[in-house]
Amino acid sequence: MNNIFSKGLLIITLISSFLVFCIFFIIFYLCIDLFSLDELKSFFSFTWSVQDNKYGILTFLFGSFIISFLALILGFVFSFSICSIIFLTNSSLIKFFLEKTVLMMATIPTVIYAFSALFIFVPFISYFKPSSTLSIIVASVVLSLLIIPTMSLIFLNIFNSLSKKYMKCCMNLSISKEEFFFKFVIKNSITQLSQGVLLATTRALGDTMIVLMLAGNALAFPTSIFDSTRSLTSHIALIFANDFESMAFKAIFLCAFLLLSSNFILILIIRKIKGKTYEV
Amino acid sequence: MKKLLLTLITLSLTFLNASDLKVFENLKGTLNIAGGTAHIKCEKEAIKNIMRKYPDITISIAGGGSGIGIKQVSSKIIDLANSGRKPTQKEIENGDLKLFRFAIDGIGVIVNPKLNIDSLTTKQLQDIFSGKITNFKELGLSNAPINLYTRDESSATRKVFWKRALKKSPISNKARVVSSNAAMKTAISKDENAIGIISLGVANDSVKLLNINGVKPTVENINNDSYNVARGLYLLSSGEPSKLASAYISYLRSNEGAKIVSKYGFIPINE
Repeated sequence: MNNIFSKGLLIITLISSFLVFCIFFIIFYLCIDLFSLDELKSFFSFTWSVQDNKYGILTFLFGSFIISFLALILGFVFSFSICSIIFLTNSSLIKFFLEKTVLMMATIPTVIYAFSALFIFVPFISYFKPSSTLSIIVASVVLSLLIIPTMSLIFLNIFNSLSKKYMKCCMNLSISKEEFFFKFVIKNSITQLSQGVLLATTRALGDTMIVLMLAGNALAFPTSIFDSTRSLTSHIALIFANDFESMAFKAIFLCAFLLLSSNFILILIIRKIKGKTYEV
Repeated sequence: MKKLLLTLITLSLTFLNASDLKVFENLKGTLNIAGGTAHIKCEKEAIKNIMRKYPDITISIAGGGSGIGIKQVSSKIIDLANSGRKPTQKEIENGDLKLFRFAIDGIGVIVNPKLNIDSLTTKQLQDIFSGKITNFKELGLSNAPINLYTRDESSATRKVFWKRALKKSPISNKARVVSSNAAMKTAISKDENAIGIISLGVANDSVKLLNINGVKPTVENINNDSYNVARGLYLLSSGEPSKLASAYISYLRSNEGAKIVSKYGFIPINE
């Protein structure tokens, strides 16, 4: 029975890996025409204007990274804080409430986050800064809500596993819970924290709905976090309706290739970060 | 006597109830429609009437914009496309498109209802949308930045507005882009300093329509050509439409269909 199960798992893993490889190959194949074009360098510029035959996508690459980076900073601060409170608190009620809240956040679809933000957060921020309704900051804040569960669950996992293994021992050595957390747990979970952050980055880079609905999608290169910008994912969604043979449509494949490559590189980095043996 | 009376009443009711929906008699199946977002509200009511009377018929409608609709119908992913512009000759040839116009729709400039402005000239519109005017104080209002909203490039609403109202003047690349008429309405209604464009059939009290050169964007002014920022609403099929699609087109162009179209602020036509 175990043998059949493990063979079944192996087959499913091979099929999944094959499918991922196929996606990568197809995107690359569809891009390959662009690499032989003289106009390839026109894709690596900052101006997108179909009317003027300009197809630069670097603004959108920058848009993707800046929104994800800001979301990551906010998300990390909140995730780490929530997980620290869950670990350090003696109140089982607070622990229960926070854990369930994080789990519930993971189940909320991204479109609900975006839609709610449109009616609650956008009017709130426009009250303080009238020129920044749909902007980088709005999209980043809402995107951080999306990635908090991703990071929190990984952080909680490592904190709990270290706690299970070493907490009793440390308690017996009269080390307080706080000392155990700050001097042992954090020091020995840097690897897993980094993996959580990188995984959340891939999630943030790949999100379409929140960025499409909240970042404003302007074509100009942003000069502040209160400006509107467009990400690679929302650019794909917005120019999808162009004619199949047009350069604008072909740019979609380059956007997809850049996105896939960025995520691939991040996943490789996650895999390369090796776990350490625990020591005080 | 009672039976005769009942028969007479039933017959008279049937006669009185003879409706334009009878084109769907003996038809069944699925009809998939997608494309322009201006069409959605009025077509949804028509679809509800059809599906209520004929449960064997299923009609689905989706947005995405006129560009998406044209593309999908040309690839035969959907049966009918909604388009807010006449397809180009190239698009017609590529998709073997057949055009069926059923309404005329105006395109208006909208602002938040709290803004104290009622009219803009063509020159002011060109300057605002090109990014030359960036603050409401340049229009004689209080000091506040103008938050410009426009539609994506494949939108017929944007194309027609750019051609007819802006006279092909450029649109600033700092303008925020939204992907449907409904999204435009939401964005403008939530932003006190916003200015955008919308199909007149979709506009409601949550936004304020501006006059262009003193002309109010109304059905009467579109009909008498004094307000010329208007476009046809089309249904497109790739090749000859199926029986169900033909029935749907006929229904929208019928008297009942015209009443629904008028109800949503469009001008019904039948050609």
